[in-house]
Amino acid sequence: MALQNSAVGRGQEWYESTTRVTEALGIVSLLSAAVAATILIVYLKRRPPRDLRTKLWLLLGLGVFPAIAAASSTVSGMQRTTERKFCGSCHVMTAHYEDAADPKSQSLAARHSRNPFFGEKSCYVCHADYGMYGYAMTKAGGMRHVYEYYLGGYRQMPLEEFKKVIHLRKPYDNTNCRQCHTTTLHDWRRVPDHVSLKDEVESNRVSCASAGCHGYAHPFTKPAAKVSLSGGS
Amino acid sequence: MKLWRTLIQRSVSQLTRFAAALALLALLIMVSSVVYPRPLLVVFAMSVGHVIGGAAFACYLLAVLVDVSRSNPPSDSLAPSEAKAPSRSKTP
Repeated sequence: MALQNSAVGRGQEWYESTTRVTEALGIVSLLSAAVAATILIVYLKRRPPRDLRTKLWLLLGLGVFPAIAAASSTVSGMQRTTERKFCGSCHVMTAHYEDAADPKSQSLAARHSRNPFFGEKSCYVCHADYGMYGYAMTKAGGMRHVYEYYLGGYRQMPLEEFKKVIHLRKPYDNTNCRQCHTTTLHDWRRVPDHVSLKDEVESNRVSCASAGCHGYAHPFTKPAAKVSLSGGS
Repeated sequence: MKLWRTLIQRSVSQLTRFAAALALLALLIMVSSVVYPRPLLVVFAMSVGHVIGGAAFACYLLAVLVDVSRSNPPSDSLAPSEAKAPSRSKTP
């Protein structure tokens, strides 16, 4: 119990520290932009002589401070895109967002969202591809979501209809589960189904989040007949 | 070369003012993505915002280049009488 509490504490600390970094970067971005904008507005209003001093001020206002603002706003923006409320800002994700935030929900997604290591970033932690290029590939995939939402018809789609049509483009990769559930510890190996299905799990022939195993992550998007088969340990 | 001459003829101040206005627009887009992190705004800031900001800095660099080349004009841009002056002095 003490070990579990300590892990929860570490998870909360980790989440709070990343949130603080994101907020700090946002403040740096806003301050840099404010300084650059002040220099540029003063230049546009006063139109000072074109001497070395003016050129250096302009170098700060057009080069240095905007570069700091761009870099920090990019990092801050990328961090924001990993937060659950960002994913939930498109109306079609309302059901997913509310289920993950529901303390009473027993779906796989909600149970993981209650873990402080996932917390407010649970969508990203589970759906980000694992590996060296995982971050970049996930962000590139996110661009497709933006395209589909604004130009692919999802924006106009009612939520109930969306729940029926939403699907993953490719089967969910068990490697993402195995970032935490390494499958090497005694607790995992003592489950007979785990041992018998180890090869299938490793080769993605059987999904951890499937009916009969741990159940669907978002069961409300599945037909009732399929959900009744799903497990939920 | 024609493009360069056209640029030289343009006012450096005009180019710098244009760069400042572009940079202000880019800053506005970037700041709005920090204040309101909505999907489209974040994507817009990271693509269009950065391109506009880059264009503003490029305009500023161009203005500096034009200014420097005006203060040090190349020999072939001198007036014909000035360019021929040394050879005339050597004439016996």
